[in-house]
Amino acid sequence: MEKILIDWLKNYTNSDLTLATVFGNLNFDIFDEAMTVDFVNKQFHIDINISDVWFATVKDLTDAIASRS
Amino acid sequence: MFLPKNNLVAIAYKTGYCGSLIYILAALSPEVNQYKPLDRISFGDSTAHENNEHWFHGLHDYWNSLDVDQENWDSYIPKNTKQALLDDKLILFRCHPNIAYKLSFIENLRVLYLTHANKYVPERWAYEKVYRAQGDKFYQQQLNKLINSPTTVKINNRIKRKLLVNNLNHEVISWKQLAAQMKIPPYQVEVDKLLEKNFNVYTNMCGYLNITAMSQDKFTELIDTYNSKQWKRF
Repeated sequence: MEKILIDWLKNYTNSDLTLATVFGNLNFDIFDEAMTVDFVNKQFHIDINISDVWFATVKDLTDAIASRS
Repeated sequence: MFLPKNNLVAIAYKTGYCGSLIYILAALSPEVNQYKPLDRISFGDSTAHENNEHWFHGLHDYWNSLDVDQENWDSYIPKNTKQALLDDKLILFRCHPNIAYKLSFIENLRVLYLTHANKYVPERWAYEKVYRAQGDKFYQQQLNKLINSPTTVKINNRIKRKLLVNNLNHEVISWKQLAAQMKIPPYQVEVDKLLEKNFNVYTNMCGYLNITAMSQDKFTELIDTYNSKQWKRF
């Protein structure tokens, strides 16, 4: 799951990233968050649109997906 | 019912898929009737809307054209358009793929269907060009449509994401569905390849329309200008 998500995020943001990457440093905005919600939903059938506040790091996002798997 | 000669072409696309660029690329050919002379192409806001073509009443706006059918088709055609459709030059107009599907009763209608290899890219462009500019009004309208009732509820980030995802997944007739419906198969224009200055994509499109292509230098210059104005993430 981590690899699929990171590969997708790399492609989507056109930048290199790891689990430690902070979304703020990618200039992630509400639109990017929505597209990530859509991708995770389609790929893993999991709803991660669970909070007003977006995940701080990529690891926070993968942890949230893992905990709902 | 008024039916065109073989000179009507729909550019079918969802917002963000560079419909105005494709319109201009085709409309610069001498075989195309320009609604207004295309003498000032700056792509100022990364669109060509200053050259908006109004050949038809409302067909460009998705929500205003959902009712179009064989019975009311004539009411969409202004007098000057009827006259132009009697001419030999092509008439190009832009519409949503779902509207092109509804126009399949026009048996000699040709359709350019715009596609992109990564749907998230044109969605971002639509967001930058249209939705973000509207701000909260966009989210409010989308929410009202979703619940089918006017509301003034405060829209938080969770709701905003939900509305953006809904907009992304708004059901659009696919090229395949359209091809099954139309008498003349629609032509897929791969917008991402066009923006990479793939001249063949452009000349093949011209071949489908049976129009003269511009020179490769002119094509490259136009795409470079467009790309320089288009929103970029990094």
